Amino acid sequence: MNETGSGARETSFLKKKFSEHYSRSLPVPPALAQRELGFGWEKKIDYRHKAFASPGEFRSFMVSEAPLFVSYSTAYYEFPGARPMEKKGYLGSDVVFDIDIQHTEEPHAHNSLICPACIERAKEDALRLAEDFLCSDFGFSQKEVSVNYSGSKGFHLHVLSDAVRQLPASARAQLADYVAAQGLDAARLVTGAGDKTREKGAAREAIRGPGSKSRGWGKKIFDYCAGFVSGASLESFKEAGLTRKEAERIVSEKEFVLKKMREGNWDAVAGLDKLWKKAVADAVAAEKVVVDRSVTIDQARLIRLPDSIHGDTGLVAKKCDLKRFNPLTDAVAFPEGLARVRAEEDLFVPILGKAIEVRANVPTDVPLAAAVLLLCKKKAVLVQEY
Amino acid sequence: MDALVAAKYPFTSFAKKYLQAAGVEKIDSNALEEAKSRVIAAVREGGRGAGGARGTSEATRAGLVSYALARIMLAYIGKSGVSRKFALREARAAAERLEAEDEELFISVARDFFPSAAAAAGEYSVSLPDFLKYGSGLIHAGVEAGKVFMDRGDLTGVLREAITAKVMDLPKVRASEVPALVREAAEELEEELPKESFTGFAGKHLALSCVKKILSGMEEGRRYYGSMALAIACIRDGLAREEAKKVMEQYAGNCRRATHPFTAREALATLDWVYKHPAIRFSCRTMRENGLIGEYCESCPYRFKKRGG
Ligand SMILES: [Zn+2]
Repeated sequence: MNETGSGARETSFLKKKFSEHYSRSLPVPPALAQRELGFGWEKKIDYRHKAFASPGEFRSFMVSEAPLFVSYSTAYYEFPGARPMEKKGYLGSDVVFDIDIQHTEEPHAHNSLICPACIERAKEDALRLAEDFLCSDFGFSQKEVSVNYSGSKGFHLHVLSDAVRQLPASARAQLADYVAAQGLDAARLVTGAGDKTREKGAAREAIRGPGSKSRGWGKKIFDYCAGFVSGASLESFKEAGLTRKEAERIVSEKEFVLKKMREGNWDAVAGLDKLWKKAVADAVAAEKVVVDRSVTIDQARLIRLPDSIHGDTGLVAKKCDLKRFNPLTDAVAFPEGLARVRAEEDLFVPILGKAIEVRANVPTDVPLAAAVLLLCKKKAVLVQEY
Repeated sequence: MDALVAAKYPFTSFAKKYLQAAGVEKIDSNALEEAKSRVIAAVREGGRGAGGARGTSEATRAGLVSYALARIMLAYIGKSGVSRKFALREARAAAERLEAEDEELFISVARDFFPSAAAAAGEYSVSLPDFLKYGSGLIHAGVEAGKVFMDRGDLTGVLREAITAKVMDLPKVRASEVPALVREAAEELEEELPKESFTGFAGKHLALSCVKKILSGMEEGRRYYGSMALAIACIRDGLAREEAKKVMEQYAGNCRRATHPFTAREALATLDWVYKHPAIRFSCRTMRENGLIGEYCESCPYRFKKRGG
């Protein structure tokens, strides 16, 4: 046993704490009796094919066994405990989107224990997914979309609507691809804007693009590109490859250019054609949401049970209102109490609005939430519980 | 709904009702001949052909009967390659007829497939779940507030996919329940069909090394796309659904060893979808985009084709 790996003492401490938490607050998935559950103590899923007929049965299991990881099927089954899978009697499944940003590319002081910047970025994506795609485009009501923090780096969005339960994998793939802009051929939406070499003197194909009445990805690309033209300065047009003369003309005729764009003419003034290739690519990159497509497509999948504790962090996979949610305070399972831990390296835990520091090999009293996180991560040993 | 409309769109629920109400009179040899020639024409055209008015009695009441008989014969013969060509031809012909229809009839045929279909201000819409039942290409579609907006041409295109799926979905017939006269005609039909329609593609796609690799099982995250590629290979190779089912079950078995299982049910659902969308093409590019293959294979006949067929 490694000095700072969680050993038997740490595991039993975590189990005790998890059990206490579940005796106070028990997550019950909607339609529990039709869900398959999976549990993990060592791995995320040590065993699965578990079913519970009632919330009471589920509660006593959770309190007595205190699994470190709990996941449930996005599918509904007639016999969720049956195995193999074919015997379960598939009845349909929710559509789930999983945003799990491993490490945002934007420069920041990344904290490999738990990174507020990366979570914040995932939260922004989750919000865009909920608002721009699931509600605006797909038309699901806020009531039909249940959002929860994953308990670690990302967010899960569950569409709990009868309208989607029977969708086959091919339809789910189309939804995932739409969100992630996978297979989007921008040349179909903005035509004639390619960078093909033209013969001298040959008439150039007029550039047509989406307009103010466009929908779907056309609208997203229009809004982004019109926004770019509207906000760009002389310098930014020049940086985009236009000559000074072209840039000056666009700046002085901006309203005209935008009016024409709203009508679908992206070619009103000379030089505009040089903008679109990059601007359209930027639009797609900015508007798409990277999701784990297999989570959306697979129908036999188990996913973290909302409001259960994530055994890698001790944070709750809490259902949340993204606009006012800070996982590192709002998803803390153990907001009170202290524990003494010792780590082998200097560590820094940003939790509960504090910056908790643990110096290498110095037994330190830290808030219980920080202690649980360090023990879950196997980055510290328990010296003393209070 | 009059007889003519029912005959022009024999796959609709109102045609079915019409036929039930009118009752099927004695099956005569003319109707059977008509049905046979309908299938043979489809096979000769290879599921493509020029389309347009057929110049036969397809759009008459007799045509409605011949459509129904043709499908029973196809179900009896059980050759998916032939059914596929038949469905493609029927759908193409219907799509061409639809172009000429007035708004009211056009939308009533559309609603038969997409109950949410609506027309307003010169454009059409269907609900997102309705669209997803048959339509493809959501990513380029006019999606807004849970609806997919289209012009008439695009809606006709989606309808064509839906019609193909419906025509392909043959009735389940037991050989013993097929009237002797129809059975004999079906057997004659099978004789008359050009042989290459059964064997022309056999094994071509399934023998590709990339497809064999997929069959040996894909890892998590690629399993659905793998099942899609495999199902397309099956339909392009002209495998009957039952034969294809065995291929898919084998694939699901090979994929099973992962955290999240991939079940035969999932693989078969993909197969069903593909067999209802027989126009779908085998595409190396899509396989590559979905991470199923790394590089295009040197010796592959489909190499460099964007959408090889
Ligand atoms: Zn970070």
